Amino acid sequence: MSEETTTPSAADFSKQSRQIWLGGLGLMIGSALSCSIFNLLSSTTSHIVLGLLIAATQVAFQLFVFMHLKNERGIVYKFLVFTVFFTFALFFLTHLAQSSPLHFDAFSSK
Amino acid sequence: MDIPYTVKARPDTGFWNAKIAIWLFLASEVMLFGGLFSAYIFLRLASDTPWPTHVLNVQAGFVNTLILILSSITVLQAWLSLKMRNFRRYQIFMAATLLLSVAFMTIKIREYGDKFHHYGVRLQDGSVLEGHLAEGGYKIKFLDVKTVTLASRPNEKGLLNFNMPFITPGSDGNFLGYLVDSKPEFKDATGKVVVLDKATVSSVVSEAFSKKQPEIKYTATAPLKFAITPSALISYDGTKATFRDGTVLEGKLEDDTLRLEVDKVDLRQAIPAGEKSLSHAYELVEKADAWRVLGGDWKTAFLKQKAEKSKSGGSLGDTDFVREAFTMPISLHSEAGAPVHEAKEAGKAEMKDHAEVAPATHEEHHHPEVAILKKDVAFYSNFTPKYHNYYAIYFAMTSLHGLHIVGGALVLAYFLFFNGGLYKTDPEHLTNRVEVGGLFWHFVDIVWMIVFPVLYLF
Repeated sequence: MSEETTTPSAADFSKQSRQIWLGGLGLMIGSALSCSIFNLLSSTTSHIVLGLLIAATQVAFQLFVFMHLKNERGIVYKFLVFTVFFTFALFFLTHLAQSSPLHFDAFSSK
Repeated sequence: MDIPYTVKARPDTGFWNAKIAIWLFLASEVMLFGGLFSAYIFLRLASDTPWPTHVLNVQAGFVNTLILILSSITVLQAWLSLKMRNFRRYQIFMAATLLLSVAFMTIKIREYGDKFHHYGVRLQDGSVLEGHLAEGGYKIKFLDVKTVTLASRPNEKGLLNFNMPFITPGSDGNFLGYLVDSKPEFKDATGKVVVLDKATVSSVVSEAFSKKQPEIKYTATAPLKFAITPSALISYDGTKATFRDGTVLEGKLEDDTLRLEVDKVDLRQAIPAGEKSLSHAYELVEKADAWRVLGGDWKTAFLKQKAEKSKSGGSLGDTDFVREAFTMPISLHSEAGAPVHEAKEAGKAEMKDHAEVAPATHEEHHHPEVAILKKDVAFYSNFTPKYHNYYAIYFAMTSLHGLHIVGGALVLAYFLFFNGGLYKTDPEHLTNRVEVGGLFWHFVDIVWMIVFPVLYLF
């Protein structure tokens, strides 16, 4: 959904419409693939890693193609870099909760 | 006054107003949902009970994923139609988007309904039976009730020691809703016969409250019978039931067994934390309370499953293995060697001194109905946040996502139904509005693409 610089022709619209349908089909196939992995794999770790990879690909496709992020100006990336950093910082808090840095052996009973 | 930069971009930022606003808004949304995903990871890693996995209906979740992807396509097509200046095409695709959002929410609401009606009962040793309450739900039955005491609670005050207006300071008369097949006819302290209803209770309690009289006692003209939903009670024992509003019934406890149509047994919590030996864990679960309730035939089926699982190996450190080895679906139509016919009478022999097994299961039922004595129940709940943190984060994430769907659909519906005039005067302005609505819609789809695998598949 970028700024239009030239007037597109009917053929351009038709091509773009086709691309949207094909992109959507790709996203659906991605979700079907996730479900298949869930049915086929027994290992939780590999299942989660693969599932997340597929989800990340779908998200990237939605962002860059459907939301036309690839054509947006740099300022949008600046917002997003900050928020993505914030989100990962939140995940890091979870890590801290799991392995508390405030634990000192001196306080534990022997 | 014309608002500038609704169509043309500002020279300094290169964006028209709504475009930069929506990206800022979406950036804040990333943080909101990021916080929830972070909470999910935290809860899952720190959970001290087995994390429920594969408990949602994957087919329903997958269909909802397809619906949202399709709606992403249609909203883009609607925007493209406006770019093409084809208003009719725009209307069709926008209407399709709205219909898809309704379909998504319908499936979601059905899924929520399923969770509200599905129960888990943890027995004293930690074994868990899951299923649906038998017909009529779970009721605490009192009979021979001769005395009802209404509470006026004159000493209790509301917030800041202030008597809250419009709030009954005591009994609200809801107990009358649990009366079974009889007329609520009572004698008051003066011997006068009254038929209680909610309005009478309210006026009697208000009067007692003004007189600072803490309770009003009534004697039933004939013994009464009550079947009470447990959540309406604060406490009960063999002779007395106390409601949340302070009303007290005095009679005889007839029955408080919980009847459940069991569809799954989960023995993982019957294994003590820190247990390392698989064979010892099996020894423990073979003595689980669940078999006393379900009956020996289901235990035999479990031992068959154990023999199968033992062939493939596994350890207590492998959560997938533990889930598969120590849980078992309970179905009367199971083809996995479940004791189909015997199960209908399951447990009767072993439960003689324990609880009476519910009437024989009807042919059309898929799951055996068992009766669980109150003393055997450590905890029970439907699949809501009270049951497990998994359901807390499930409802938090999916309901917030659902609210986004509803909000987004309302905005898109506004464009469709109320912005036809704008198209005639300034089509590019409407195109920009739809673009912004579409960006939000895609974001909602993105969130679902992560929610679906995380909650349904992992």
